[in-house]
Amino acid sequence: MASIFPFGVPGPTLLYLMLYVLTLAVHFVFMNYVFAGTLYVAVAGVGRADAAMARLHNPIGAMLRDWLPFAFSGVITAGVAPLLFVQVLYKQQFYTANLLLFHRWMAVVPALIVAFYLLYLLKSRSISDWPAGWRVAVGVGALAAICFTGYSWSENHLLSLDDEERWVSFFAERRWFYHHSALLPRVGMWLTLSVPTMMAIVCWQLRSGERRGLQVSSSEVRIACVWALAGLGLAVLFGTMQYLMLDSVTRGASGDRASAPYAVVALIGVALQGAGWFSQWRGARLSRGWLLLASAGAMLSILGICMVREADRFARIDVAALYESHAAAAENGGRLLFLLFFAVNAAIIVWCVLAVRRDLKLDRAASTPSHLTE
Amino acid sequence: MGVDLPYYYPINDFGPVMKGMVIGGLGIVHVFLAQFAIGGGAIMCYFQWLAHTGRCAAAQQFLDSYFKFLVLISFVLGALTGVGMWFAAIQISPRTIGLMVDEFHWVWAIEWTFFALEVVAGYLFYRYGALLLNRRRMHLLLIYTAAAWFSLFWINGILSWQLTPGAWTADGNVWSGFFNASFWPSLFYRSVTSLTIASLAACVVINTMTGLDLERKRELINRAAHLLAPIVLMPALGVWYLQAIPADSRSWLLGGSPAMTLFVALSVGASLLIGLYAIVALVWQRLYINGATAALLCALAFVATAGGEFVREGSRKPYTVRQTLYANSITRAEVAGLRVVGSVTHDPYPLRNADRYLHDQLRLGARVYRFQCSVCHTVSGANGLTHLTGSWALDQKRMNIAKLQFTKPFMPPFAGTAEELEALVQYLTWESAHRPSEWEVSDDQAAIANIEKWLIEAGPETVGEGAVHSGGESARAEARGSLGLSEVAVPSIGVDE
Repeated sequence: MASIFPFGVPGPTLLYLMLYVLTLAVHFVFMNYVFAGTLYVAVAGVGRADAAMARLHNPIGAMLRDWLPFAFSGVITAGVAPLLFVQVLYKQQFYTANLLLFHRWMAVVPALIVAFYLLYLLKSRSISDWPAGWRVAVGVGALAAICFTGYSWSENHLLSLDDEERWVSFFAERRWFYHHSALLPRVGMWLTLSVPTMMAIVCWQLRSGERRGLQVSSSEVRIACVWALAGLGLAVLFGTMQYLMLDSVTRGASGDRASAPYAVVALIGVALQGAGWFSQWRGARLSRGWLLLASAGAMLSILGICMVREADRFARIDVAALYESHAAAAENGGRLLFLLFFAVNAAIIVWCVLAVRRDLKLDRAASTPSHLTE
Repeated sequence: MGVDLPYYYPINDFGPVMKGMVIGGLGIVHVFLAQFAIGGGAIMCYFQWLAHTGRCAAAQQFLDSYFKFLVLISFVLGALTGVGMWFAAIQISPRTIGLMVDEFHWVWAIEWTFFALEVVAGYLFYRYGALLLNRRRMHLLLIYTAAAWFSLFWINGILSWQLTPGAWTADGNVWSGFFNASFWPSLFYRSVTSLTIASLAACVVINTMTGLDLERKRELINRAAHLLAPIVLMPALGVWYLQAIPADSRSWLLGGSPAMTLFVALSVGASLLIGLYAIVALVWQRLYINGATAALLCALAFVATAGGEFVREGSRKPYTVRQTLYANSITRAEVAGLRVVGSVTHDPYPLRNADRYLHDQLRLGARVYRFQCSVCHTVSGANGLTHLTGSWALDQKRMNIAKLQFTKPFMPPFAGTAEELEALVQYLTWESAHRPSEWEVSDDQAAIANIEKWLIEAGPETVGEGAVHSGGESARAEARGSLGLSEVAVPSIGVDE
């Protein structure tokens, strides 16, 4: 590809591509919270019973246990839109990968159902009375189900980029797993990169809680920073491994002019996050400025990686053959109505949140709500 | 001159299970839960009104219990079975879901905005409801209910389009297809069903509530039963729906297809039982029902939903999108071309167990079965072809399959060459004979000539549709564009469109 991605791509394809990338980025924000949040809760639950309970009930653990089920709903809800647009954009590749993985791919649905219920169980008060082994099993079980889903998505994505010859042999050999050298580092990168994003959201929640009387100690802040910085470091390591493990052709496609600017954006995002978290660690308090820096960095990283992902895909499949179907799809009615309802429903969502906040402020004036400081 | 060819996807074997049973089973659970969520919103609005106007002392307590139930069941299972439906639809018929997405992705995107609103309003109520003013609680519930119902509104247009695409087949306009003949009866029918399911679920929840005496529970149940009253509209809505669907589909539901008629009877019978119990016992006599009875009524509602969904799916036969795409993912336009070039000639995916077959003719037959038949049939399991054709003589098989749309009007026309048809006949006969270790290659030129004659006599269209929808070529041509077709050049023999 000669020019910077996606310049030169026809309008209809560009429209669907942008919608896909933007909705995918929103989905990733929720997914990062759930992915890394479940990792944190699972890890926090392991160890001596009293220490594990303390970790699960400290501000970070309690906040995560409280919000993970809702965030999971957010993952599913926000995931519907990119699932729709990926079908418009890359129908044949996406469907073929789904079909080739068959039972393995369909297993993500029961895995997600199990994970969803386990997260509700982690939130329940009664789990504190359970034997330590069961508590660990619930956390680890939820994490395993979510990791399996993440692994399957990466597997599906890489398989969808392969050529017909490989698809045919995969089918003929009745294979259940798609092996690719970049698969494990890729999953590792997504998992570890999700940690700083999750911690940024949790820290914003804790800051909001502080205004309502929640006590967040400096050691808690430092724990959040250490997790975020460790996640960033590992993500860079896995990202590098992934790049090095690609074959020369694919590496050429990934590293060429088309996607290089977005790789740079993603790396700038990583650097901003690193600076934000390191400064926060030094200050040992929830600083609005450093949190803003880390959050902006996280968004840049997510958007940059999403664009690199699509530039890589455009370089590896014959997208030009799909331009005609994108143009035909774009002619179908409903786009303006979608924009209208998107705006109206987004406005109603904002109004709902603001109205509830107003009512809660009135309520707090009368009493201190215990559920917010749980 | 070119011939339309489909894009070939790998086709999986589900063993003895019919593919329709997989998506049908998942679909029924999803529809039931989704309708519970929609009706649940309405019932909660009603009880919120009862609570803040002081008409029912236990209404507040009911709301808290019911919403928890709704979140844990519907928000989790309902949402994820919805995702499962996407994936299952891809497994069963990627071309069908691909066409639906291409045509209606903006409508689906609109539905998504309502789904997001529904989730946010629902969770705000679930999380903060106890701390909010009554007015705000009502606002949230009304928004939740409206958003849930509009989700139904949008998805209903897409699903009903599959059976009654109406003017879309001629003009290709999304809104012509969306506001189709069965849109309104289907929407109202599903709305009443949603209220019924939610009311019956409320009766179950009320029976699980602790700290309420029998009188309070009776009062709550009688209140919940008010939302069962619209069930009296169901017969009229059912008749309206039947009037709206195509005559051939209607005839299969009303006796033409024993299986479909049975499911209609099941759905109607279960609905009737619920309706009678609801109106006579709950609304009129104001009786109390215990948890077991309430659960039984819910189970009956599930049976009615299952029957209804089976009927909705089955009545589309032989299409998944009427007048456009057959159940086996072959378009009407492709049939003639595939009769020339062969239906599996360009299919790159080999048989997974090619060694099992004695020779190439059986292998060809197995591939034709996989491509044209396996979406609705198995070899020897559910709806198995060896059961359906096992008693037919060889020539009878040849003619019945060559004239398939006349043999059974809810079957699509055969879309392959005479040689492919002969291979399919040999394959089915070999399977019916329990795969003997010796099987001769059929090289009967007279039989091939007969098959060719029967194929020409039958033509590439289903029975009686050409005259009714002769103007649909432009829309279908556009649909073909979105189906990802390729073209190959073939010699003209005057059968391609």
